[in-house]
Amino acid sequence: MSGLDIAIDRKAFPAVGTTAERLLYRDFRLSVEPGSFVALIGPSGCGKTTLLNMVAGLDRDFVGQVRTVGGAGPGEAPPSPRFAYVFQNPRLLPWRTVRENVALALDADQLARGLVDRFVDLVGLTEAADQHPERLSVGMQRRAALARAFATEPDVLLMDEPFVSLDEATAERLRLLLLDLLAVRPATVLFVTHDTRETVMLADRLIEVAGNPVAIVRDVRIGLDASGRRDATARAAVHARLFTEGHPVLVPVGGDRPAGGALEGRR
Amino acid sequence: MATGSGVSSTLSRIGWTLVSLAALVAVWAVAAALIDSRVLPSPAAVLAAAVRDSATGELPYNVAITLGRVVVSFSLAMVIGGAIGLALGRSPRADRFFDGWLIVLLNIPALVVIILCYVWFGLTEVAAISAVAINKIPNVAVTVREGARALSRDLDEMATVYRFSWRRRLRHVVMPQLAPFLAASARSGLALVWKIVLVVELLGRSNGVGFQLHLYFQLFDVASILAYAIAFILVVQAIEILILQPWERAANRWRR
Repeated sequence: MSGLDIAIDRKAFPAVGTTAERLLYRDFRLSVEPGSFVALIGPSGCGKTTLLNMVAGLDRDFVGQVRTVGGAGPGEAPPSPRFAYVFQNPRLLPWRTVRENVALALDADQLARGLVDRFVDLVGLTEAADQHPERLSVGMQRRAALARAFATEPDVLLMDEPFVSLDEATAERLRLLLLDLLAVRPATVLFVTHDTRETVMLADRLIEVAGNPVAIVRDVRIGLDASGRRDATARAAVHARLFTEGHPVLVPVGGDRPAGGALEGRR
Repeated sequence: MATGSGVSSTLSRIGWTLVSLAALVAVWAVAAALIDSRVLPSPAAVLAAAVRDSATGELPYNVAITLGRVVVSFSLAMVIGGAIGLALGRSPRADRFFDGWLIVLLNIPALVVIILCYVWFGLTEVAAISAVAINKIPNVAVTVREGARALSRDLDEMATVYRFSWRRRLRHVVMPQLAPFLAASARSGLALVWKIVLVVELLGRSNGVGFQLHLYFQLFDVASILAYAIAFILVVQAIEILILQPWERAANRWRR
């Protein structure tokens, strides 16, 4: 497993037509310890997804570098670390079945070790494995996306609001599933969300960002243990401590974004 | 689509097609009887000509020759045109540069391409096949370019993150998205290609349906001309129904 050392010296969206250049990041630094779960929380449109894309190597148009650290045995350089990315939309190939979608992301060795069936089974999609994604419910599609991400045995798992726009019961089941999957197959997780309750339940560490260019305004450990994460009372206590005591930036209602005002950014 | 009512509506559509074709033959028979001339032979005379040339093996041989040319030039045009379309759709710079070339190629009359190929490469099989393929390539390229411009960026990023090889990406991510565009150009392509193949054969080959038509034209044998034409229409329709349509259905099976 590897951690992350993120150093973005400069990232801007270039000017287009009458829209001026927009500076998103300047001298932004973030280190993520191997095996930790970091939630990145902040107003819409401030550039959190852009950060994930830069880490994933999808957006290379920036000054700075993203290094993976640690991982392999002592003194060894980590072999090129594997990234998995769970996007806001499941991004499954609609013309391939669930099983094929998972299998296509794996290498020959992983296929030989039966990881497809193992993770399809772990996310509870064995019955639906030979269906095409569009025939599945939205919740099941997200399960398939989780199976694909974990089956690739990632060192670093990037997640961009993976449980957004689901009903609360489904989202909760998927969060529990994510905890189960991480227990089976640990990974370093960088998780973008708006949902403060989700953050408390899942994350070891909360990074709150805001501003333009983006800066870290809060960096706290949450540190619920495995049973605390599943305990509503323990979660509520931590949530109250972190979000309701004179902290104006985020409205502490699960999944809701701040209503109006300067914080409602571009989506 | 594969519901019970779908099957019965397909059957009724086939039924209507048969009725309308029978009516066409009837009109033809009546007209031929009224005119009573060699220039418009009756359906029976055409059938007799078809039977006669089938018995000697001439008709099946020439249809097979022409079909072979159609298959080779059609495949070449689809592969080359598809590759060009994909490249232009993905690279705006290349598209800006080659767009003019494509417009020129689209507007060259088929006959000019055929004549130039025969002049430059001689009256050879290669020249004949190239001439047909060159006529079709720009159409395929233009259609596939539209599809390539609309390729999903989301799926492209997914394929990048999960390290798809270029081959895997082409087969599982790109081709399924291009399938409707390839199907559209295959449809129109087949119709165009076989007509051009006949012209190519007429001008510079010594076998094939086009050559036979030329021969019977000199003999003023309209019944045989119609017999060859109808035989080839049947073959092309069979390809459409037995190969293209099932392929399209298979490619669309995943749709809800």
